[in-house]
Amino acid sequence: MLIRPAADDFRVVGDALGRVFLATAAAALLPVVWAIIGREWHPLGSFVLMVGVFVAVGGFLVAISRQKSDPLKTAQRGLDWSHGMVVVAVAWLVVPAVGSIPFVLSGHFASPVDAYFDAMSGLSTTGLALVADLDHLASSINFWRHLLHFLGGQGIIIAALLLFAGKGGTTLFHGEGREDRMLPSVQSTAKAIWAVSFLHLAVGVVALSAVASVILGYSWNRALFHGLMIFFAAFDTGGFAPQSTSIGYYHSATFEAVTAVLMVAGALSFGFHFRLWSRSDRRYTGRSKRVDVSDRDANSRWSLLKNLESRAIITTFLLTLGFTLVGLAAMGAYSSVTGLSRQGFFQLLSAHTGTGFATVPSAEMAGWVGLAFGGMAVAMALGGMASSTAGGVKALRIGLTVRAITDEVRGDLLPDGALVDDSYYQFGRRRLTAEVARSAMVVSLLFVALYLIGAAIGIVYDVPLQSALFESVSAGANVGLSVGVTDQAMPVLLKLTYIVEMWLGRLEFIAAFVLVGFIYAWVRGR
Amino acid sequence: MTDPKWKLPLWVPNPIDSIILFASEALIVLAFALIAVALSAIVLWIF
Repeated sequence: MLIRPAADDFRVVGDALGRVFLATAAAALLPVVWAIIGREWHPLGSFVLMVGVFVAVGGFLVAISRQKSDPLKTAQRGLDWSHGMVVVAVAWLVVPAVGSIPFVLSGHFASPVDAYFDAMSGLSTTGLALVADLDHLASSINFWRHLLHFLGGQGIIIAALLLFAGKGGTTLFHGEGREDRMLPSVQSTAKAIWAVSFLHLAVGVVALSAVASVILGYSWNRALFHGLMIFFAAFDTGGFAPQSTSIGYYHSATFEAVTAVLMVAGALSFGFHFRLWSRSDRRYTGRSKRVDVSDRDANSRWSLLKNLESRAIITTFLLTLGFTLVGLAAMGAYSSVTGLSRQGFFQLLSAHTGTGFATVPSAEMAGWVGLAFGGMAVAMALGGMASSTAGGVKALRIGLTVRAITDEVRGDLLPDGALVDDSYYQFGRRRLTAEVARSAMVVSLLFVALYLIGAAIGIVYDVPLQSALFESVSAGANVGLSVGVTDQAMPVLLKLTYIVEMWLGRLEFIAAFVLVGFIYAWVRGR
Repeated sequence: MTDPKWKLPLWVPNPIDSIILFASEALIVLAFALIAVALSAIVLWIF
């Protein structure tokens, strides 16, 4: 029997949601400033409206959550795990809805559904787009599209987390799939995440702008604009670009190389970044009992290569790269080593990191068949590291699943009574418990089911099997590469399918399931 | 400088660590790119 949520549960959720919306309103002031500086008066009105709606909804929720509440009861019923999950799930549905207001009013979207599609794609760091005439979009609207990547990637929830003091913050933190606790408190961990992001922001924008200015010959303000937009989309593994031809627009190997470094940075976990960035003797090693903090080796930068997740992602990257290159060579797509390695490597890296940038047109990619298609689709489905901005199954789950299977097989092959070493290395030696293995396998299977259901709905609408699968994986794994299925003319139900896939993929299912359970308990519980 | 609650050293980044961070990320891309070039040469030679 389910217990119906009490009024205090709604108050706690409403208060947290209200704070998230107010924090988003603060971030949404940036495009307002951009539009004023750029004298883009029409978009300015739509941004002011959007900020107003965020403030009104957020302020209303905070106000009614505090009204009539018994201070003692409210203190007792703090934000617990399920509340945090509900907040995350609802925030990721409502923020794109309000965030799509400037898109709707821009005249570049055929319908509100298309605008919501792009806003969800932005916030979930996917990169699939339904915008029309992108090359003539107002720069402030383009900035807002890319800022959604940054807000989504770094976590609107993490930003709001700084407003929460106490235990509840941890819940929101886990709800977004970021499970690495690097520093003693949630606040200090969130600050470290932002520090990593802003360091990359500074270095990445300068590097990209310098290439655009010096090598491509752009004026300084145009170079800065492109540098900023591409940084947001690359580091947050988003995939939006200010031009319809994506990275192919720049025709520059140097620009592609800098973008590739930022894509890889985005797909690395924050724990990985943190250990690369900090000296071992100054590093907090964590309070987890599963980690042997006396293991000095666990503190060195080189120990990162011993991590199960690092080994899993290196293996899957090399395998999918091999498949893709063999497939492209067999097709005769490229006749030179330079062409094959440059195009194959960039597209595959973009797919595996979940970014979605492309240097080949989607019509050309639609012609990638056989092993080339297989390599790209598998790379997209697997994704980057856990606790990164990348989507997909994640390398840690792949590593744990493979390890659990090999342990099972070894156990069967060894004599009765023989002990199988069930430990693995991930920032220190840990035990692979049945619970950890089951959790990894369940989420992996859910991702596979999501990809297949999305592909099946595409097939219903006469999309060829290969294209339907490619596009579904791209949406569900928050990648953004397209073979041309994502188009303004596609059926509304298919658009809604991809929206749900992007949402579920970003939340890694659990938060969405808790929301459904919360609603069900409210309706049917006692 | 220590965390007031946990009495543990607070993390303070320095420029050398930052250079190591970006150099490591660039090296990862360079290593994979070189492997891609080598693989491309081999597969084009085969096909």
